[in-house]
Amino acid sequence: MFDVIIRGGSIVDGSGAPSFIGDVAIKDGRIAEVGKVDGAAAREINAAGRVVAPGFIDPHTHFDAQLLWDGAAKPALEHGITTIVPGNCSLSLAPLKVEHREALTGMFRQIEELPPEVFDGSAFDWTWESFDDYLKAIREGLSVNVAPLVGHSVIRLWVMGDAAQQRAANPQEIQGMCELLRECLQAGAVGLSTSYVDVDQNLYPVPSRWAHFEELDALAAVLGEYGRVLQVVPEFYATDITLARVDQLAELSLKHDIPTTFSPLFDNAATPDNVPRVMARVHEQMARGARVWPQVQTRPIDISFSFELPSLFFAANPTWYTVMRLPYAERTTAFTDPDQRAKLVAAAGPDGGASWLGSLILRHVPDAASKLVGQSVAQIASERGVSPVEALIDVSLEHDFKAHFLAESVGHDVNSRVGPLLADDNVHIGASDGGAHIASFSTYGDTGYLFSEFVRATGELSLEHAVRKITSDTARIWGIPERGELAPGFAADVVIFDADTIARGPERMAHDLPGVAEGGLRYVRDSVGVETVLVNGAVAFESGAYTDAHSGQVAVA
Amino acid sequence: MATPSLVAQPAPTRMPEPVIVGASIAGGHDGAAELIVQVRFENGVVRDVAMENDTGLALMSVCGVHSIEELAGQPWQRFLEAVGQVPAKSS
Repeated sequence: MFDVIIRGGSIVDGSGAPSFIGDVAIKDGRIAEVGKVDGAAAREINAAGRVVAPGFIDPHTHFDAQLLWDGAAKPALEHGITTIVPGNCSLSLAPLKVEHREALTGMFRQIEELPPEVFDGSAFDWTWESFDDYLKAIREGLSVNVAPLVGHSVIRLWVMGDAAQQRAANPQEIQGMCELLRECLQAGAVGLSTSYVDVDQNLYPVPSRWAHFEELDALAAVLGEYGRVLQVVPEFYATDITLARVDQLAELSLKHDIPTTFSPLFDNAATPDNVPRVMARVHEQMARGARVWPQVQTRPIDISFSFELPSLFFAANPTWYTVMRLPYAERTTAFTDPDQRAKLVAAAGPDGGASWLGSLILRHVPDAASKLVGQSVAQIASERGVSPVEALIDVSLEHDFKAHFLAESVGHDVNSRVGPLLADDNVHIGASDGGAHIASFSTYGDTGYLFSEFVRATGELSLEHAVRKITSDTARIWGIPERGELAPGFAADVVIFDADTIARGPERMAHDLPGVAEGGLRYVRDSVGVETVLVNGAVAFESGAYTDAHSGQVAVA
Repeated sequence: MATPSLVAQPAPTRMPEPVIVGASIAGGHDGAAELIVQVRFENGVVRDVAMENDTGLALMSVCGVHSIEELAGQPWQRFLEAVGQVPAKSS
């Protein structure tokens, strides 16, 4: 008697092998049989006409805090993601001494855009200092599996205190960090994350950026003792520095026999030689035997802005740029004074700003009930019988410059360039940043976007290839055991979806942050085409709703 | 063949400094606009450098320009001045 049998689905097992029609039997949270399954089960799920695949693994997230009140890392799970890697970019919530909470949460607020109330005790209780105790704090409520990184900045903070953001470490301090890292790896950390880019809430470099190479080398040696991963945020704004980091990671990988991964790497029309140059170096280092995995996101990059703060969005238009740099009162006058307003309207172009501004989406206004949100500037203009530039100005004035607009797909958006990159065997699909930048844009649904755009629309990847890239490839790169494939003995993480419709839903606002007035704000996307998600054999999401299952595990312990 | 010391040498000239030769706006990883400038170095190589929103705005301010098109021809030294104007930011 099995616990669950999923009958008659198109099985894409995660290995990259061709799909086939068959059944998947589950017993005690593990895959028991795959193929033609005889016998009965406590529950049978009819998957005819649907794809049955291993649960997806998201290797770049910042759900560290959210997991304390939401073990499903919503909405990640409903997109078919059954394992997440939090603790990226040098930041984890443990190990953390009580006296360092304020410093660390400042870094988290800067990166994740979580409001400070979340950390003041109303959303969760601070019950831990050690990494092991943090895992205990999240473990009972987990609906997804977690393969957590430990942050280099946090380890530095523990050992060096305030000096972590002032100087290089001495040999004794490096030794202390190594011992602490060892303790975290033994508790279940999948690896170490570090960053050469991130800043805290005061725009001051995070602790990891103060480390000299000797420190990282020593920590990588500890990773080598366990075969665990080093995740790095390189100076991605400059190709030449990124190339140097690729070389550095390659040396660490070879010297200590560890996998390394860096992110983000994205394609941009303004810097067209960035990806080709970085990938050429990655291929060269991979050919030497180094493991240096660039993480590439599937979704395009958007720009958001308002009239409230200066944005480079207007920097190509001198009339608009000049006005946008004015102090608030003068800026307001410029948009209300008839003569100045006329100049701004004229400067938007003879088409009334249709080509420059018409496709902008109004994504947020203070009035949550506004029906304008989600409409394009061109739509609003049409309804009001004005030009797009006038609509943009009017909506901004009506909301005291707090209306936020979105320029969609302004980077990493050319499928003929991004598709082959995602399909490259030396590219690791990831970098979703799930749980970060929550008040700026949605970081969910990248897996659905992979299928809708690069399997169905362009055909750059086959269904089997796409599934492999976000399941068994990820598990192999990260050393996550017995996940990422539908094979006997593997954990029963399963997603059942409609290959013809799986996608990401439209971006929408959610107000669901605990302990925050009116629920705060974060941008999310619902899943499309994902019907059932099982985590370690338990149904965690089905028919558009989350269940009460809390079957998630720490995936590396 | 004359020995090098006997060959007339041109008078030493000041090395040219890196110069911005173009600029464009792009989307950044964090959802904000970024300024991408093309810099021509002394050896003739042209490379892109990306700046996040605040640094890009500071560069335009330091250069006294009102459009990214006007950045062409500005010395790279202006970038260093711009970085100094962005509080406590070292990247």
